[in-house]
Amino acid sequence: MSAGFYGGLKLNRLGPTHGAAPVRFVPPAVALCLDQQPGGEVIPCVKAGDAVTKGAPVAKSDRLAWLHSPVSGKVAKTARLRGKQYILIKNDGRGDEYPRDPFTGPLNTVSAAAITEKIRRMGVVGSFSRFPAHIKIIAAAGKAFCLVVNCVQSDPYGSFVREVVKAHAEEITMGARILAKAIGVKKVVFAIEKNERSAINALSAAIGQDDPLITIIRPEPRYPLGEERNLLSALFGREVPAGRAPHDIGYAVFSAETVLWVYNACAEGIPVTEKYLTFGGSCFGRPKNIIAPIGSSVKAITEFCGGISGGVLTVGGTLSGRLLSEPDGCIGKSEGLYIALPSKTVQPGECIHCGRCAEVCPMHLSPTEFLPGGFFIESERKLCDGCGCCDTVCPAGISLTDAIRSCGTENRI
Amino acid sequence: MNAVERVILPGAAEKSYYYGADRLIALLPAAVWGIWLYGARAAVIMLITPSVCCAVFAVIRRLLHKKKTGPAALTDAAVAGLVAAFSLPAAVPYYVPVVGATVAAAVMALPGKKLIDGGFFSAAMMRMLFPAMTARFTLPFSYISALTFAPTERAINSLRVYTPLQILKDGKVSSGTLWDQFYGLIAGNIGEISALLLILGLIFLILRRRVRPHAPAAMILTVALLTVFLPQGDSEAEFFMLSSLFSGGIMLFCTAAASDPAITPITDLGRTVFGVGAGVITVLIRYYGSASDGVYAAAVLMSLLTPLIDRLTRPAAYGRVGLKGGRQK
Repeated sequence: MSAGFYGGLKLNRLGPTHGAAPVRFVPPAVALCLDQQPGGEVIPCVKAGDAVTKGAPVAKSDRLAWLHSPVSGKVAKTARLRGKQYILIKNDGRGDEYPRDPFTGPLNTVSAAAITEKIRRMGVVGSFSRFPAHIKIIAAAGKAFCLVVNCVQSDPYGSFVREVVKAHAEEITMGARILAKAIGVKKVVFAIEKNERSAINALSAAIGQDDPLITIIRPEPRYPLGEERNLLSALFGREVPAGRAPHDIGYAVFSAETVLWVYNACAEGIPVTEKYLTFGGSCFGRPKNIIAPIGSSVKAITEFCGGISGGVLTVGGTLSGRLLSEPDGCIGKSEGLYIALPSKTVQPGECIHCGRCAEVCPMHLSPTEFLPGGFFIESERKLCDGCGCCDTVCPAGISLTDAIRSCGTENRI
Repeated sequence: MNAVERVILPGAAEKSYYYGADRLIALLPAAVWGIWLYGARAAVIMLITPSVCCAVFAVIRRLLHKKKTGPAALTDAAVAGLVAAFSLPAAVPYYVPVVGATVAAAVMALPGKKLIDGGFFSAAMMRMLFPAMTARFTLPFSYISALTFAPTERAINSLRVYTPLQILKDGKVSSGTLWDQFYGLIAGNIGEISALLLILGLIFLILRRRVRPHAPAAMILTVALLTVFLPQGDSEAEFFMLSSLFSGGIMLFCTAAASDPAITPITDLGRTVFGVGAGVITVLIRYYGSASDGVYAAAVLMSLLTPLIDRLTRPAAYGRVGLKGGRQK
């Protein structure tokens, strides 16, 4: 059915978290980062000592997505840590909720602009991309003809997206209809890996028979299928021209969790306060899928998962993530993968010109040309999204993604 | 480059970085065959070249680049030396392989990106430096003593024969059967006579995923097509084609040069272009050049063209349509 995409790797599912029901994590305190989206920080509207309820806005902005308190309790302080502004809130454990503010009346009478504004005020950003959803909707409106709901997670340890889909298939379907109205598209495609039986069943049950709007496409699993440009190649055989966005070729891609947040915002009036996460990898004592409030401490969740022994923590993906020397920081809206694996120190050898990196690069680059002495095209460098395929296959152990990021300009052609 | 800390992805096979050991194994059957056919003298030549090559290589690296030479790099040097030995007839004086091995080592130890395969470069050089000595072949199973440093003209002449390639060059047809040429029961250079054993080595490398079959296949097909449609001499076209394929260094090129990732392009299309180019150059030199076999010069020429081929056959990057400086796919 689908053509697949150029390059990539065939990776097996790893770890026990696949298919494991997520566990709720309750933090004693949260630290909310004000810089969770490109475009800058939002402005706090609470101060130290204020009492907040769960779902109360704590930082606002007139053009960016807002930030809400994920717990009820007291604002301890606002502090600047490592160059970023944080709001620290102590959890009192009572769980008092801020009054919900959904649309009253049937949703299909609400205008697209009202939906977009609601999404912004409820703090919806891309659950992988950090990009504010309302900006994406406005950009895609009138250009896109098809909404793609990305339910794919191609990382070998990543499993939380499928748990979101299984647990909230109904809500995601409804959310997709709302989004389709906001963007103004007549077609919605759910993309989910072929071998995900239970999630596919949940989705088809939620969509119902012969829906004229929604279809499910099941591509072959392959890393990095979840990246939106690869997904569009695999689903429709279309490539996004360099420097353009997917909506320029008619597709608006939203991840399943973002669509769930859109549903919560519009139909339930619940802001974004929780994030699905996978704490996986062989070095965790008890790897888990987790639902945690935004701003929970990574260290606390690490201990909740049995701690890390004999390995390092990577954030953002098994192949593409960055290494954390210490498990610190807090959960944001857009990073869900925390993988702890054994590590080794690799002394890179010299490139032997075997060409495997070029074989697997989903962006059709020749990563070896970015090493000293190669010839590369500057515009191609920006295509690299750091998926890590070339690093994984390089027999000489060269960090090609680092080389692409940091290569000099003297060999440019 | 600095060492980096990396996570270990379970299930990702730890592939050995160095191809040298596998290439050496692939060449061993042909080496044994050479010793069986030409005796101890062939063994001595195949001992001299790799050891001299390794030694000179290590010394140059030590003195010039202040680098220590590990076992992996030494294996590469040994392969280059062995290829140089393979390209010599058993009757050469011993100083020829010594010079050849030194040339190979010097090329291997050049700083920067490796451009030329040391073994093939040295084989081409030895043909230029010692044209007469590298073209004197003796009968198979005519064992010349391994202890004579340089066999006398008389000793060689009494055993001298011409290889099928030299006979073809004169416009005649060799009397031996094609099967003899395929198995390697004919006169020729120590390592290139048995097409069968070299093909087995190539299959081993392909199965070990060290070589993509594109370059060897393109090379063989190109030579086959050119020779079958433009035969020379008074032979039948098919006979001429097969004889051209099985004699000379074409199979050695497929097993030894196409298996060197440093000199072959990185994409499959590039490798195909590499093989076609090498085939055309080989046939042109065989038809119009003064040397009887052009494989070695073809390997050197094509390896120098590899960066260019890489650049021209680079796949169009994702979504490059309409990009400044981009190609349409």
